[in-house]
Amino acid sequence: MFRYQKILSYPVDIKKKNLKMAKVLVTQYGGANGELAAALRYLNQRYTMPDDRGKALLTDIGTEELGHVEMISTMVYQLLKDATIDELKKEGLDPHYAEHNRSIFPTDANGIPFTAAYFATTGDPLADLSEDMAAEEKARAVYENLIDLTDDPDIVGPLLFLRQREIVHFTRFKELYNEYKKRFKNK
Amino acid sequence: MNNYYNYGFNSNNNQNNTLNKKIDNTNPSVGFERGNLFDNLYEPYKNYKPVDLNPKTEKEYLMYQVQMYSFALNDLNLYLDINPNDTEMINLRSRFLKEYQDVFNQYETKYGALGVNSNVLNKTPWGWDSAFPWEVNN
Repeated sequence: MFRYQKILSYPVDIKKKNLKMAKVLVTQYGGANGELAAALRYLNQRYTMPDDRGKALLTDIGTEELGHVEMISTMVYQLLKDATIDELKKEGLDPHYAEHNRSIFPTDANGIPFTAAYFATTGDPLADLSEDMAAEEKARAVYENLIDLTDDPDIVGPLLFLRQREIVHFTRFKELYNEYKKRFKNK
Repeated sequence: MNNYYNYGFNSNNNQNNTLNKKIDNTNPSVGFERGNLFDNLYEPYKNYKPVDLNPKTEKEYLMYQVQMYSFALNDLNLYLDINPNDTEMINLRSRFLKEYQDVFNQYETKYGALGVNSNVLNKTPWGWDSAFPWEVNN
């Protein structure tokens, strides 16, 4: 089960609205390499990991990613919150306003809605962990692209933190992958 | 006994898995602010430095500590999933857990419940419906 705590994984306090950033940052919410895809991918794959170590790691990283979903959601919410209709129109967010007003909605930076296809689960632990490693690297790359697009320290701080988590997760998945690779070869 | 990986783009072949000394001796603030408890895994982006979070009020300071110990426990959790026999890390986790519970209780007593099953909610009116963390100035 999951239980909510009113604690962000890392502080988010964005003082300046920024619709341009909201429009691209949302990809780390609802894009193919975003936090929602990561959380649900790992929590979905964990059932068929071949041992308890794998089940533990996917459960724990998947759970951490749910916290990152909340961080990104908070950032998009704060960036959009006080936008006027004119500002939304100017940044090309009138379609977003038409469908969602100022609520957040999981899409990528091009407005493509989130899809379960991003889970990419095969049931083969080596294939699934390779997918997970690639997902972490892609998320890291997207975080770097996003950091390049802003100089607001209130945005850069949380993005640097989240980028670093991708590096740690990649390493842990790689360690598990190597262990499974060795074990399955000897069978 | 274990293999550690350094997948940075500036790989320095440092295969040690030592925690940052400052973390080991005092608290995990360096690891928390940079998002990585492990020196050998840390890979900065370009010349960016982690933000100095610098909490200003007592409330912010306590929340910072809750977040910091929560982060440290999670990062050790992932490490221990892969390295279940590392007693040193298990002991470090026990120490962080004690600190975490201490600052968590202090925060709840002073500023309200962080979880719905908190003892501080045993009063009228029901106090859960406030202070959501995505709102600024909470």
